[in-house]
Amino acid sequence: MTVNELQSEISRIYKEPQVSVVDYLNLAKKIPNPAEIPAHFRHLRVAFLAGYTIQGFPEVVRAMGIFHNLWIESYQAPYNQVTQEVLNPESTLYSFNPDMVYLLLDTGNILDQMHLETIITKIIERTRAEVVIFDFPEASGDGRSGELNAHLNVLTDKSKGRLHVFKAGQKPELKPYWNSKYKELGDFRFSPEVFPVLAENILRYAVARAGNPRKCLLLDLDDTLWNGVVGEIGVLEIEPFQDLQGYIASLYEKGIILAIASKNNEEDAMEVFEKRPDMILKKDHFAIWRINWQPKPLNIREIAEELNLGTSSMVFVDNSDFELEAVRRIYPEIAVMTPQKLFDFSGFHVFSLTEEDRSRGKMYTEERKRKELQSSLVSTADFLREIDLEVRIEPALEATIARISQLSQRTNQFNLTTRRYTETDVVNLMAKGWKIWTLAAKDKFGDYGIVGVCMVDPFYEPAEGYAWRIDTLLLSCRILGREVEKAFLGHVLNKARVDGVARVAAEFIPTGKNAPADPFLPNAGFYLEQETEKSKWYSWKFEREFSIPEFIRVLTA
Amino acid sequence: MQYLEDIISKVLEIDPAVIKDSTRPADIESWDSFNGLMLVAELEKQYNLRFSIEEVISVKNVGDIRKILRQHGIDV
Repeated sequence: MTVNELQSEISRIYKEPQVSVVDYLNLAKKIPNPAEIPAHFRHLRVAFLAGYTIQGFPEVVRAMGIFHNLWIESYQAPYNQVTQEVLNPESTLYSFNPDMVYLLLDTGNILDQMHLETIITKIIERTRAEVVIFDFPEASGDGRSGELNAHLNVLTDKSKGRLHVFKAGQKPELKPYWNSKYKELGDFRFSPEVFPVLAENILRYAVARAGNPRKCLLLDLDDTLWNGVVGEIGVLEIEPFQDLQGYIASLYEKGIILAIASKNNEEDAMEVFEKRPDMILKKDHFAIWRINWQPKPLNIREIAEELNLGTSSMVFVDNSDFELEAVRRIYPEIAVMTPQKLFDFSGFHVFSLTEEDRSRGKMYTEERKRKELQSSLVSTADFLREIDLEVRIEPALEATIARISQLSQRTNQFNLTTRRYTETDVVNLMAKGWKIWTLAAKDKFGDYGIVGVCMVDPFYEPAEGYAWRIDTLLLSCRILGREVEKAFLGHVLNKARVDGVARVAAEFIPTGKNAPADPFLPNAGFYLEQETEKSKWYSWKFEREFSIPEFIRVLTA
Repeated sequence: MQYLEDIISKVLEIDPAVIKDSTRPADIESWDSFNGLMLVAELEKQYNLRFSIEEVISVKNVGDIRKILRQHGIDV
């Protein structure tokens, strides 16, 4: 089975109410080896440390990971040897080099607060993993869960964002499955039947760690956003599903782009938005809509093209199994689900929201207006002069680290090297003396926020007449086609010259997705030094002036 | 309703035709203690019932499973 076939199969069972742990276990056996991972997948190393039996759970997490475009390599510590694994610096846990560690402990596994603290701080010190610990359920029965959970709060504050507490004990749907007969039969705590639900819940941290959350939510209308078929019963008779709409509005606030893909007469649908004040979702929430009688996969392709988003970053919600099937078969990488499933879906999760996330919805409305102007003007050059483009280039600041990491994790198209960095990585590189800049842009329609990052290793050739290496240069797709990349590179070259650098080296690593960045360096006048299958090396030796487009105003800190 | 043989076949990944009432865990390589528990979970899910610990422990072969399901009113 290829990854695409497997993803399609998991996508099919994900929406089935009767799906069981065995279905996931059987599919987990078919996960192919990493050589076959498609480009939209992320590879993640996940360690499970448990004080009780979780046999089968890592496999369910791996299978469910495929649904979330994650190829998970897992390591499970030997049964009930958490303390030994963590304390021994030579243990398999550390040689595995996990990106994520899940800790599943019962009160009986922990002597006291000090013991708990030692386990967590050692993992944080010795790995670069995000650590997720399951809280201690009251149902553990020895009365110590409250005290240990309180200590987890203290440790979370101390961990600077590295420790996350998964509050399994507070989830009513999980409670009946703790300490069932499976405890007597095999020292389980969670009964295996909830492994799929549990896996979906905890994968939110993996999605955030891998930095590939979904960006866009495609919505059906009739019987999805409201009860009833508006074309039949009329605008006054439909009933908005307010819980779902409220939840979707909260996703919009977090930067999820909303779109409509629906089979209706457009006038009927628009009338609902105009005439029903009890609709929580308004027209302005949506970046785009395709309301017509075309097949939905076709509408989705048009939406993806228009928004310049990959289908692997999309989620499709519809009440009709027919439509979900139609989309799943053509786009296995799109997460398809019924409206009820959306509430528990983990694929939108990020660790920290940036300013750009919060205002993304507004930016898409502004973009719609830009497009209107662009189509009214004759040439691109006229358009660029018309919009009063201004960029601001600043060295990385503590406040911009989250956004720098986010852009490195998410940017696929204009990205010279596609190197992914966590927030911790960025902090470490800054401490090492790397030069990191952000680029923010605005025009007369609005503010794009921070849309570019350049990272330079200034120790590439530290001898006399030394060289810099551009490790990363990327721009969000929102700002492409405005020659901002030239302004950015020009700024970096200026800094290099002032610093007495003789040569700036830059690399292009093709990924299958970053073709838009391929011609940039040669077009900018960089000299091709070396080309292999995996990368092209270029350099700039300051033999001539680097020209920055005259229609961009560059501000620097 | 699903046939008992089909459920066992799905969990143990074996041909349903080889499953007889006399079949014991020792006869099927994949019927280890973990898959035995997965079988419990799958039967409970598909037939919408709950077994007691005693019932689970008392099972020595497929016929015993059938007997217990019948006691729960499942016609298998």
